[in-house]
Amino acid sequence: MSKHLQNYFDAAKQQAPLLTEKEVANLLNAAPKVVVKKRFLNLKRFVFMSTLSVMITAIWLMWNNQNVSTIKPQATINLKQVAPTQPQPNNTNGLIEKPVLNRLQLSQTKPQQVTFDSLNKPQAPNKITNWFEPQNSNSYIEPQEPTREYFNENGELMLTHEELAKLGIMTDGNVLSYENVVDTSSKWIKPIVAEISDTGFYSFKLLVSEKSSKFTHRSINRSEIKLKSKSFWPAVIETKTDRDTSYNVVEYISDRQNTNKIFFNEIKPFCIPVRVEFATQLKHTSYLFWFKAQQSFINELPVKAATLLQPKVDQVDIREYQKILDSYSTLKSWTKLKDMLGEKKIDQLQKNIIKLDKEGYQKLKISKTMNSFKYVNNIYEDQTKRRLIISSKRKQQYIEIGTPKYNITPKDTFIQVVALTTKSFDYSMFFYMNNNALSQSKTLELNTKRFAKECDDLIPIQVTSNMVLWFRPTEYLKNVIKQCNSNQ
Amino acid sequence: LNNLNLTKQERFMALYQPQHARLSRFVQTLVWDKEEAKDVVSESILIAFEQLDELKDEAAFLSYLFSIASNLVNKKIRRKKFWGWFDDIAAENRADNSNSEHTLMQHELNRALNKIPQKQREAIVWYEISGLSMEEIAKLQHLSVAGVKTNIHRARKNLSQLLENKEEKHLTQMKGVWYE
Repeated sequence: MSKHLQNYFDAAKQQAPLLTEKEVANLLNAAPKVVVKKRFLNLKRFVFMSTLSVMITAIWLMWNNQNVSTIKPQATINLKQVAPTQPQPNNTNGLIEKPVLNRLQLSQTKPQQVTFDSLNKPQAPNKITNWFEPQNSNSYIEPQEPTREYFNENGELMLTHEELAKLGIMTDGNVLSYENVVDTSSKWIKPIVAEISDTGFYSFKLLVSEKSSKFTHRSINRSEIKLKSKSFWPAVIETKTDRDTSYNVVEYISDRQNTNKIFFNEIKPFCIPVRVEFATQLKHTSYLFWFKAQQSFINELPVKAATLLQPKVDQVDIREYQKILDSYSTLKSWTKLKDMLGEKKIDQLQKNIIKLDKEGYQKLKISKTMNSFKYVNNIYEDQTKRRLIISSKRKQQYIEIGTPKYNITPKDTFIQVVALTTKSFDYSMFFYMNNNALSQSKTLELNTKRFAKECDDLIPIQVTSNMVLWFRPTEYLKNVIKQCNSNQ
Repeated sequence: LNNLNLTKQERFMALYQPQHARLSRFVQTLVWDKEEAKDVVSESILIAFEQLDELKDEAAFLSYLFSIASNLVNKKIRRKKFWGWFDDIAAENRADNSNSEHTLMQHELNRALNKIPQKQREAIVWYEISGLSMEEIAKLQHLSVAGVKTNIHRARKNLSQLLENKEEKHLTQMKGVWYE
């Protein structure tokens, strides 16, 4: 067994017991009844079963009614069945018995009026006998994949409406929509692009109508949404109208000005284009959805198309794609800080970086190992009702900023974190409040300038071998540092 | 113990005491939230105590106790999977743990364990962390000793992959995102 794994087990073994023996004894003394013997038919189960049976009956009736409409009208009626039966004397002694007809017999023997109209009307089949008769083989036609071309001359995938719907692309009348995410509160106002860093899930909603076509990017809280569990998404949506061509890069690339260039030069080879024609009375638009060439995507395609695309999927290394993307991602682009500070200042700031002892980190709510750390606090700069969770695992590869929690009470306002940077200032991340009206690049510029201005007054605390958290110099923090110094 | 004229509680305590730490470690490793883990341990104890009279063979107490705990833990895990793993409150409950250096490792192990099949998960935790023998685990899982060995081997392999290749996986997760 690897040492690495053994370390994890050792850490788990060091957990202190949850309850003391005294607590167990107390628990047993006041033992409440935990195991409830269940009767077979209690009220809850009775209500549940009756509701269930009503639902099953309703579904069966609906299904049966649908079947009635699909069966061809019968042209003839067996007149023998509807002819009145003659009461036959079955007494062999010659005595004439008065014929006694019960209600059932009456209903069976009642003669039906056979008119020309009734002969032409479709007759409802006998529902009970239908259960046991073999189903009409004409009522269900096995779907057969038509022999057709899946790719046009440009190598773009052409799919039917049903096949597109499987990918989440729906054309319904005047609206083209793509979604792989559903809002539980059903309050979509805008199309959405969402990224949930905890799961790495990336989802978005696009809505195009006759009047407008919007692609809005917004990050949303995981708890707000129910994922439709599509593990693939288009990297790019390309819109071609008569007038212009535009590209919407769905992936999280900070360098939005150059997305077209990035797409054409680097991302395109990793993608499979799907052509979507959207025609209404007013306009005809053609879209190209560029999906990443990955297995989960082609699994949703028709078998023939999937087998044709399989070699491409096998050939493409998604990790390479991710690397390219990461090179354009948010952290990478935030390198201006280093130039802004200059080498001298960086040297000076690096000297001020403070290392705390175990107790100190605990007091600041930072849990850490050599290469990773986690910081949880309920506030970040200027915002009191948000929770900030920054965690990093090995060489800045994983950073998450936590979800907003509306039900939490603001506390720990005595610790205020402003930024996270690497020791060498190659990467930086700021936690200032953003003005949503500003573009991302403008916000970044403002934040960088603000940080460069006030970094002398901030207290840098080293959290991993390479990462530094910058705090506001509050009294609480100063006290923590003092205590650490005196301990050392 | 039946011949010693002990009360039900004394009899239970005598049987339970040797398993106390083992049970606690098992539950704590699989249920991340400290409060939830406490609930599971308490509930296991109460159920085991209440139905003690139905236990015919006292030698089977270990299997009896761990089966109850295992059922409760799995119920919790199923619910967690449904409602989502990420839970700040759980993280904070755990962050209070005094030995914070181990907290991250324990959390990582917990997450990895919840990604492997149930039989493997239980076998490795019982063997490596609770310290049960292979024979005891075989009884608990209704398997042969060889079957348990296979499960443990597979669990180790899966865990190594999950924990050591974490770096690669996190590549896809690395983003600095502003949540509105």
